[in-house]
Amino acid sequence: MEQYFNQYIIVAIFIIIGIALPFGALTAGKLLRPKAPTKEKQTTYESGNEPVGLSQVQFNVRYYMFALLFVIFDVETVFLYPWAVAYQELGLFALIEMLIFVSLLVVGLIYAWKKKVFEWDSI
Amino acid sequence: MDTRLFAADLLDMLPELTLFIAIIIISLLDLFWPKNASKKGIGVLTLIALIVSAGFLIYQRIHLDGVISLLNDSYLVYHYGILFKLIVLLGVSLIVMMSFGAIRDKDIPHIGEYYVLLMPAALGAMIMASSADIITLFIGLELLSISSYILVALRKHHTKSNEAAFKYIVLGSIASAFILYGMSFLYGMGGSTNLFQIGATLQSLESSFHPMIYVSFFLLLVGFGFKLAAAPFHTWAPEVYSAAPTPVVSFLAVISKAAMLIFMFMFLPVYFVPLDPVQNLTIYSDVVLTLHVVAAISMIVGNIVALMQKNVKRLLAFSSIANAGYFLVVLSTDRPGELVYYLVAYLLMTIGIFAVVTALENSAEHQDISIFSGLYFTAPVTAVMTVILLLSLAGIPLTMGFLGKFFILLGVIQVKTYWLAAIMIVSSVISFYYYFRIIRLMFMRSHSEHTTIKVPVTTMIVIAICVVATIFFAFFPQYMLSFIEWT
Amino acid sequence: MLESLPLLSLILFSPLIGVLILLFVPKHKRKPLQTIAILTTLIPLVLGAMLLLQFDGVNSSVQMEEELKWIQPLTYFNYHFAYQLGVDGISLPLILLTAFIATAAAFASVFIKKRWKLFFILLLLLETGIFGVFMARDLLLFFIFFEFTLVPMFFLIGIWGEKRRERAANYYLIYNGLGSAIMFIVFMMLIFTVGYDISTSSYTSSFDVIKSNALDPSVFKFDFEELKTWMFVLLLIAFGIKLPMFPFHTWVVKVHREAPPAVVMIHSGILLKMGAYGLIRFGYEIFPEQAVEWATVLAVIGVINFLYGALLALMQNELRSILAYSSISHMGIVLMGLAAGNALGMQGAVFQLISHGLISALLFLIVGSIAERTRTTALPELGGLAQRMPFLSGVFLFAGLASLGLPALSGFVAEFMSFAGLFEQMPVLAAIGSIGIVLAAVYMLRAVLAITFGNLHAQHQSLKDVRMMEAIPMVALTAVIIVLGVYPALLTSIVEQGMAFYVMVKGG
Repeated sequence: MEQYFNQYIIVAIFIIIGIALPFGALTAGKLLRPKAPTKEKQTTYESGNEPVGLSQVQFNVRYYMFALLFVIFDVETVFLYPWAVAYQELGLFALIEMLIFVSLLVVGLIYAWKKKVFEWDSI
Repeated sequence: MDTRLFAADLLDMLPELTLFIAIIIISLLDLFWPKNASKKGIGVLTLIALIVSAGFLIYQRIHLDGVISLLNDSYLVYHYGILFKLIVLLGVSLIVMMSFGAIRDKDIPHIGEYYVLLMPAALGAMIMASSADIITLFIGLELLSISSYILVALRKHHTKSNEAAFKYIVLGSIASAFILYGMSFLYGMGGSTNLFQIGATLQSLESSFHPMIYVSFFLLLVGFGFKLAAAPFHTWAPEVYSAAPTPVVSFLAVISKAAMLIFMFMFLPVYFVPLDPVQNLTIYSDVVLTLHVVAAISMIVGNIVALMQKNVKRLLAFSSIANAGYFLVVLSTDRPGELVYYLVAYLLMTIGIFAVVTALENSAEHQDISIFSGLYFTAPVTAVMTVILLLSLAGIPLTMGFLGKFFILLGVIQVKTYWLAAIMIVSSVISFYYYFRIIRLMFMRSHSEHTTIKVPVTTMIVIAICVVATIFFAFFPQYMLSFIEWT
Repeated sequence: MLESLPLLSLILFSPLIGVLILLFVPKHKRKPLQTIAILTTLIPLVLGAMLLLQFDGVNSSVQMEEELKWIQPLTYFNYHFAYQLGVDGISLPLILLTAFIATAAAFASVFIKKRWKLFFILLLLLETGIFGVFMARDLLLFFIFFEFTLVPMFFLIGIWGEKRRERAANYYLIYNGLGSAIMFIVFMMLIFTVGYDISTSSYTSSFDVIKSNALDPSVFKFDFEELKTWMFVLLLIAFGIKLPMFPFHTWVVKVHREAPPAVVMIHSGILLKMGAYGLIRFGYEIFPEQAVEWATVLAVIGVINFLYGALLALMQNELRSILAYSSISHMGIVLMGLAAGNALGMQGAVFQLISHGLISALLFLIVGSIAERTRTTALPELGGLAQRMPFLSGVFLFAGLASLGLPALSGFVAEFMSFAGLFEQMPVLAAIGSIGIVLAAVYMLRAVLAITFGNLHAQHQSLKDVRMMEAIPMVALTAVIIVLGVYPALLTSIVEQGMAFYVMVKGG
């Protein structure tokens, strides 16, 4: 039992460090840095550009669709990559498994296609 | 234990595979469905897929010999599992049939998706009924849950429905998280994801681990209670029930509950952990006590709050909360035969009554309880059938509902939990009041609003099936009981 | 050949034949509907007469037993329940009473002015339910019929009653639901404590098994000793609600006041008797020792019922309410007779069940006739009806006299036997109780005289006397009341047979 809890102590230490680190770093920075604010320094940092409009704007909902589709292919790659690396050892069985996996994703792709997700004016 | 899967083993998974393939094919067919053709065709195909799957199940049941275990017990084909799957398929088939007359274009823009989504939901429930591994169980649960989140949200131009669906998703995810957290404790202590192994390991643990076992149970109970809609985790139910499409509501009320029951049915044996060998105490007895308390609260809250409801679907929501209480009672007595009998009774009467509600709310365009007014004068046959379903819900003799409750009570009295029996029986007397209120409306009030009520043929068939079965198995319970125990 | 007929099942299900026929009769045709209903109620009456002829008055065991297996034990499901019927000296008179009053009620449904088809169907369903209650020899079967009677009664009160009918129907439903719920718990406790049947090695709800296990000291009884007092008291409450027993009587008044007369005939005439019957059958037969222990309590409650009902009846100004409280009062006599516990008192109690059934049915038939013509049953609005309705008034006077216990009528025999029985055991209580007899005379005569004599109200000048349809049941009921009053042995000889069990247990 004690051993069981001892393992959690490591987790607890990680959590504590995780919380303490940003606090510590920011506090240290605050103590060390000189403080000379000007108006320009206090504006939002946008890669050197002048910020335009409000910072809280709604994104077009269409972007979410793209994001979702991106995730599908992203995940596909994540799975395909290790499979390709270990292809020699896994053999035919894994090939069939992968084909099933890819074909399921294709079904999702066809679904998205027919639902006109790829057309900007569909919504 | 063999962890490999062979092609021959796929035969044992045929009912699930049928549904899985049907989901893909039918969802693709839906995409290429002719624009102006009725989407009922999709529904018919869904129904066929469900029936084929049920056919395979019956075949499996007939040729079943002992327990078939695949993939290191993460997939089991066994007696009660098949019964549960059959119940799920029966329920979903009835719901699909009810939907033909109930789901309308103006309500639900994506009818094709509606029918297709019922299948993964059923598949999730079937996977749950068939696994003894916490990961597979959780996958089944999530397949069921995610499908039902979408089903609840299908009335997409209805503000209330969207709000309810959103709440359902958020709360449902929290419940899933609780379940997952509880499972993680079990895994941590048991060192395995297999429930049998967890059970074996837990028995030999030293007593300092016992608090953790309790923690895992209470975490599971929160998630379980939520999905079962047992008080005090029931608050989502009235809102979701009143806002979701009625066939989906009957799905939540019947199939989700059945799935959660099989879920708990698998988990409870894990808690047979001896506390004190001298006094024959186990953690299980505390688990049972907790279940009893939750059951008592559910029955009391469900039946009393239902008295004040004006919206039919809210009323039925509280009635289903009360029924969750009855289910918890029978679950705690560990009598699967009685559980299955009452589950079938509950399935028939709930789906039947929701089928009536779909027909009435579609012709009245609202859900006030007054939709029942004067039904006897406008549609006498439907009214009489509704009376039988309501009597079954109330637990009046000569219905399955009565015998089901009787069997449950026998189990409770046998273990001498008299207080629970008293609460159960008194709260069902309280429920007389609101069920008979509907009867009063049908027979003793004039028909003010609608002069003609059109009950679609398919809906009528569903109601008739439910009523006939409710009566038949009340007069001849032997057929069902011996089928349940048939080996 | 006749002996081989399942006579009890025939009686039990014969009303359903009428239901089937009625389903195919157009609903607006009143005449054929009522004719069919009356003819249907005659079938069990005729079969009942055959039953009476075949009944062996000497043999003390249960007769005409029928048994069909219903639910049988399986591996895990170790219960068996059967469809088991039988009659003995207590249930036989009640079955005959049911058949008789159901016919009278079918006649009395001339007062029903709407939705006849549904009315007759429900009436016949109710009749089947009541038969089942009196015939069942199995606890589950008894409960099924007992609870089943709630449904048709709910409709009968709620659809055809007076202004506040739905309230009354709800009261009826909830009170009786609670009563039968309590009863149900006790039944299940009985199944597990003394319901183990060795021959099938499973639990059963068969009355014979439970009774013999409970009474046999050599049988191992699981927890029975600890629980039996509880079970008896719970049964007392459960059946007390139905009986009605003070303080559970409020619903009875509401039903008497709101339900249509034809239904009250059945309700007051038969349904209330189910409570007393249950108490004798399950309370006394299974728990004879507890019955003796609790006799004093029962007697006190009986006396309270008797006096309280009588006093309240005295204060009412409305005929239905008077009769309602009079029913409560008369049920007190039943309790007193049962409390006495000797042969005389017990027989008196059963005699009172039959007698009160007949008399209250007659009284409510009269209420129906009066209410139909004058549209009121309030005493101040009535008077002098004897001038326009001599026949009705005559029958009313007769019924009133029978109710207050005039010698040579059935009510007297019942009261006499019950009181004589109680005097033997508890003279003080009996003496207190006998004040009620005087009160009964006062309230009954007050009501009868106020309605039949005095000044006839102006709007009642054109009233007509009873029609044939009302006269037939009135005459029949009157005749039976006189016959039982003059020749009580006709009934007591049968009842004696049924009571043999109890006297035997008490003596030994």
